[in-house]
Amino acid sequence: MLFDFSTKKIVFVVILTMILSLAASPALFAKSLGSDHAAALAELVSRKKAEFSYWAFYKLPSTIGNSLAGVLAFRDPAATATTTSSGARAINVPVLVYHGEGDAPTSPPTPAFIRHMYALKKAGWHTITMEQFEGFMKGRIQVPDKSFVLTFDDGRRDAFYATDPVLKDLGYTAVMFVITGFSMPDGGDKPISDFYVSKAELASMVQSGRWELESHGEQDHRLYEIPTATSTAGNLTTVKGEHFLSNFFWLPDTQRLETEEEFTARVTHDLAFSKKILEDTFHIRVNAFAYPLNDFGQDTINNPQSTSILARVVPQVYPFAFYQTWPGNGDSANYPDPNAYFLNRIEPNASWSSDELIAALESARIKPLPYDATTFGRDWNSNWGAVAYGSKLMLDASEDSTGASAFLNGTQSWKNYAVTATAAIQSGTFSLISRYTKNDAPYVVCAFSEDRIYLERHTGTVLTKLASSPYNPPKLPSSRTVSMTIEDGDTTCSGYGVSVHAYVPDIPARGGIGATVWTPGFGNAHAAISRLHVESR
Amino acid sequence: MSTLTPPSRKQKAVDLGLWLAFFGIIYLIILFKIGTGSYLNHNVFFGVYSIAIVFYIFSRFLFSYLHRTVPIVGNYEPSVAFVVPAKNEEDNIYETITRFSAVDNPAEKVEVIVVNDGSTDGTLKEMQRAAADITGKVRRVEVVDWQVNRGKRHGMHEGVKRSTHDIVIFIDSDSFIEPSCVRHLVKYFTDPRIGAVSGHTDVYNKNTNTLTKMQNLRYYIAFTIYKAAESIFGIVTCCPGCCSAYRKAYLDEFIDEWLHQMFLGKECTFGDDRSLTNFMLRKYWAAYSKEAKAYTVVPDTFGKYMKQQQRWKKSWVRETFIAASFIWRKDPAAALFFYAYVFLAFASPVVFVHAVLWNPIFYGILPIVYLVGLFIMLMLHGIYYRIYTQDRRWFFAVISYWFYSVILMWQLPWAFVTIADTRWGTR
Repeated sequence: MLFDFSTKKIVFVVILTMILSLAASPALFAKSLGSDHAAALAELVSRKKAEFSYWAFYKLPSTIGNSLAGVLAFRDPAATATTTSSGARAINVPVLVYHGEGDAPTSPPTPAFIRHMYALKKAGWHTITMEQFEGFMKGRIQVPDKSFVLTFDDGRRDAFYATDPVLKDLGYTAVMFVITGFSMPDGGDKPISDFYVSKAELASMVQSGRWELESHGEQDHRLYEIPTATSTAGNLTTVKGEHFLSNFFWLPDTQRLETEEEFTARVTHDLAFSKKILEDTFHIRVNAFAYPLNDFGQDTINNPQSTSILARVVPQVYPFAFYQTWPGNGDSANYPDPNAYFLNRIEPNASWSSDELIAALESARIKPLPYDATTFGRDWNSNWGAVAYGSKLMLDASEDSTGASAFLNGTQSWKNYAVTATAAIQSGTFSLISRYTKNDAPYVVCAFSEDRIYLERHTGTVLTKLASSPYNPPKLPSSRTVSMTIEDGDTTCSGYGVSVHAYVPDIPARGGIGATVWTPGFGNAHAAISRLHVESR
Repeated sequence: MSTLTPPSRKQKAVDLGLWLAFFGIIYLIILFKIGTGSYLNHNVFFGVYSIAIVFYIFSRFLFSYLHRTVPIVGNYEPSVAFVVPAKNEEDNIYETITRFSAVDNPAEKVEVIVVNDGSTDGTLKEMQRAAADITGKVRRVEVVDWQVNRGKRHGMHEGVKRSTHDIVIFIDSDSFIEPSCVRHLVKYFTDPRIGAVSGHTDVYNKNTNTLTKMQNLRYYIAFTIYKAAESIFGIVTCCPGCCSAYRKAYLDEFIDEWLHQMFLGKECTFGDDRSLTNFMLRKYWAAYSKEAKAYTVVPDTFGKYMKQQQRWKKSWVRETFIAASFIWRKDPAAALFFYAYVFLAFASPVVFVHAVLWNPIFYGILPIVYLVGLFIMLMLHGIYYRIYTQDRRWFFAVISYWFYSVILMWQLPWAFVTIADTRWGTR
């Protein structure tokens, strides 16, 4: 009722509206096309937000904290002495794998991740690229001591946005194992959900120079309904939530399980498709694959041969395949080997403190010979029984195990050596282990029982007694000193004036040491190693 | 603020720069909304809010620009009655009253009715002194003295009942009017549809501190933009008690009903002005006169300010519910904006909590976009204020406006929750 529709005002409003809409039209146009501009703008905003929150919440407080600590602290020689690089070359290289923001024991929250990275940086560790790592593994190039590869699985957005500012700040690089079927289904621009990075984001990751993209499969990160091994046309039983790579699928047309050839074709196609789409889209080389769900065949329900089939199929597409190693599975870092394709990754647990992470990497470093231990730390990895650390390495059978074992990380490259150990043994057969590489690879055991010394060859499943001899050690419980010497295949087990000798065929040319204690019953075996000495031969 | 001297060349250049900044900000907001809006708001609620708030605010500027003033008609000189209910206002009441004798209106067409509502200080004495001083300069002065406090609503009611003139002008006991104020109020009543007219009130004590300076900005914006925008539809939702005029003949239709207005089973004790406007709006129209200038004293401490705001928010909630029940019948376009505003007002605390608490805690997303967005919107208002008032400390006022907006965001939901509590909390 009190509108002023005078010509002057209307003309002004119309002209103003025209100017504003003209000026805003490029943005409107970009938006209506859904073009790269709008996506890039959204990405830029997300990136700046992440960067700001990194600087505001972590970098600034830590910088202030450090400078305060620097002002308050007296001169601490340890603080200045450690991190300088000696120019030494790395013998082995560990690979770390993270997933994203903490929602599981395997994915630490961002603050923990940032503390991990700061601690690594402070301790002198630095990343190498996947390309450098490949060169190192093939023996083509050398890399500096304390090199590691930082990898992420799944192509999660939170992982990218939260960690990129940290990488930028610390000068680190990272590798993203992308699930191509999730991030760019059918090669498209939109990921299956906002949880995953989009094609545009992948492109900007590559462009940043901080990220390399490798494959985490195309469709093999999904879960499938899998027929049991005994399924037939008339009697089909299926299990939900099973894996793509380790199982035969059911073929509804022909009402049967896949054959090995069909399985191989399906897996090969998935692996090759993922590699090709990454290479073609981003003009990069993709040589590495990370087993989705860390299943390299072991989680099968209907294909007992899947581990060996995958070990044959995967290398035909990818020179390098990564799995997550576990304690007691040999050295956790990777040694150069032109034939190596199955590579270890260490997955930091969400609960790991920075010190534990550093300890995990330090313990994986090569141990020089002679090696003499009177204290025992976490570089003794165990996957059997209970192990306690300190001035003694306590090997105790737990309630549900017949014994306990520990393997010394960082010894896998030892070749010919003599081990002498002194242990207080409560009960059980105490054994020394040599040439240990991986869980399923053969290794050599000297077993010292109540009255005999045995020399054995073990594989993951088969135990072969090669020689034995009676001996007369002090009655248990007592402290015993025993030794084991290995030169190429020639092995000698010695104790209390008795030696057992044999040539052990088909064992790795190099491998590390370990110790076990064992009884036939549960929870009885107990031994405490107080000294361990290793000399090269 | 008008000056008699024409603006200097330098002043013109500064104004041009400010206008460029003003439209530049509008342009940036549009760009930002286009570029990021739907990407950042996957949720329909937040997406709608994000777009609606911008459209609403831009519409206020546009409508206030299109607001039409009414010319003074020479032969239209209705008689006016000033009604001032007061309690414990000995400091200001004398000046408030004496200014009535100086108004630019024939003296024989002015009556003054002041109600001393149970003051415990020297208010009555001041009233009587003022009455004596203006006697003869107006047609009639009446001082009503109540020993026991009855409440502002009763005071206003008493004034209306006792007045004999065509137009009742309510003036708060701490407000002062310019001589030309009356003419610019009454000129709108030439249209018989108009039942109420709000004057333009500035802050008298604006230079006391940052808080009062900030309120001066808020008052200026609330009147020149928001009331002006409402006024183009004739639906000014609140003709405030500090300076507003009502047509006595229309008031008589509902003044007794209004006195005993009940809400949630209790008699309403505050928000009297908003409620009176609401009664008027059911049948008639309400306008805003930007030339009818008055000044009012605003709270100068945070505690007083917060309590006043809380009271206003409560009456806003109550009267908005009431207005919502009939506004749609008056004018569909006006109703659309009215309901949009209701949505925005109730959504804003949700958006605030989402941006400032929920997102940072659960997703680690900082409320940068939200806080910067809020600030830029206030900057838009601040530049407008700077251009028209020449107030050099405008930026400071914007910052404190922003600050108070953020820290008082809880007030509306709180008012909603405590709507049944009828205590004043102050005074």
